[in-house]
Amino acid sequence: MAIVSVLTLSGCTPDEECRKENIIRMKAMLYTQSFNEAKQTYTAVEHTPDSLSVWGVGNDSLLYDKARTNYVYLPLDKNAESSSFVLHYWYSPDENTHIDAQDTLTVLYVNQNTYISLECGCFVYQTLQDFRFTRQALDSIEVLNQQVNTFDEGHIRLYY
Amino acid sequence: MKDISVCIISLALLLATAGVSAQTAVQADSLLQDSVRFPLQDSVLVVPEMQDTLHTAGTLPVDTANTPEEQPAEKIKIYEGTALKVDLFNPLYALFGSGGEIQAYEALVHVNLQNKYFPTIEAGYAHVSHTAKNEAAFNGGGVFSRIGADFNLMKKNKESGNYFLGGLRFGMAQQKFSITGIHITDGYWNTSQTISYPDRTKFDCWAEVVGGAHVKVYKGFNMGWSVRFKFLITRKEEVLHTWYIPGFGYKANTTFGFNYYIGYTF
Repeated sequence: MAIVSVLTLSGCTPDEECRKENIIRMKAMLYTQSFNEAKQTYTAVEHTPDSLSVWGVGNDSLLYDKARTNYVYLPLDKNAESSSFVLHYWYSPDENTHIDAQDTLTVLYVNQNTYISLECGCFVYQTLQDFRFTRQALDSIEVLNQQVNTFDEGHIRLYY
Repeated sequence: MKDISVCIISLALLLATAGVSAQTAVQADSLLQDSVRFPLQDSVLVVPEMQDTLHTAGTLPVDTANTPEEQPAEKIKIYEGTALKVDLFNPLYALFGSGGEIQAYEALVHVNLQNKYFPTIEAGYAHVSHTAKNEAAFNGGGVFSRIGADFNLMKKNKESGNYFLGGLRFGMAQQKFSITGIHITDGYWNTSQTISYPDRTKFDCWAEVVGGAHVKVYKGFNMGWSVRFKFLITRKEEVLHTWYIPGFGYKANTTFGFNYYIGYTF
């Protein structure tokens, strides 16, 4: 019995499945600047458009389809050093104003291929380098964290 | 280089510990042998004039011609032989268990000291060619060796040539390997590339606790088995880590091993 157990243990091959978390994506959070007249300062306030659609440039597949959200996850191409996204939003800053705008955001980054295991292969982490964007509704970008990895945390703030 | 330094330090610590243990064991053994060889040497005092009286009284006869003082001390034979053993389990496992992915061969030499201590050197070679489900492939091969000692755990019939053994090993392996066919695929952007890491070298070391048996079959021929529990010392994850370590097994912090030997004692 003992020998059979040992033979079984000797023959144990490593797990063939990759069980490591491998979702790596940049999180962009939407904000507006609100002016506090009493303090004479601007403060960042979360911004939720009435509707938001997002897709990659040159890609027919929608990442978000008329979603009501104040953040988006943007997957950066693992096999390129830049990725561009279209953000199309509809929102009403006041009762009489209705905005239907579209911005293109290009992210420049450096890929780091990190070998995990034979089963998992390589995870590709990214370091954010630069941003280019149109300014139809988008005003500015603040970088919170340059390292894009498996941690689910905000990387940039998009200000409107 | 870091791995080699870690291994050297571990080996030094192991040898230091083993040295102290062996010294203690030898001292204890020496005391035990003295008391067994001459159990009555100091406790029985025979006066020649009293011999007749002792015989009459039915006490044990005393051989005056062979008093303990004149009896030559029994010589303890230290060297009892050297055994060469070849492992059959791993080659058979390569054929029937691993689907030919792993080929491992090993042999050992142990010296029998007083049928009690068995300093041991083991050496071998292993080659691995494994392709994972995702088509990534690990190809590696290298030599390994283990040094250590076994101790006969049987208290009776030590001279029978059959032993239950328990012991320790320190293992080292150096291998060359390559990892190929790693696909990096981006599902959203529909892009992919394949990368490889060719011609890498890795040194690993580990410690083992070994238990087993050695059975005399016919004349000098013997057979036996051993079960091993192995602890990897070079655990630190590197940029690339190996899938298999010759002499250790699949890469893990701890693992089991098994050997089935046939051999000859000279």
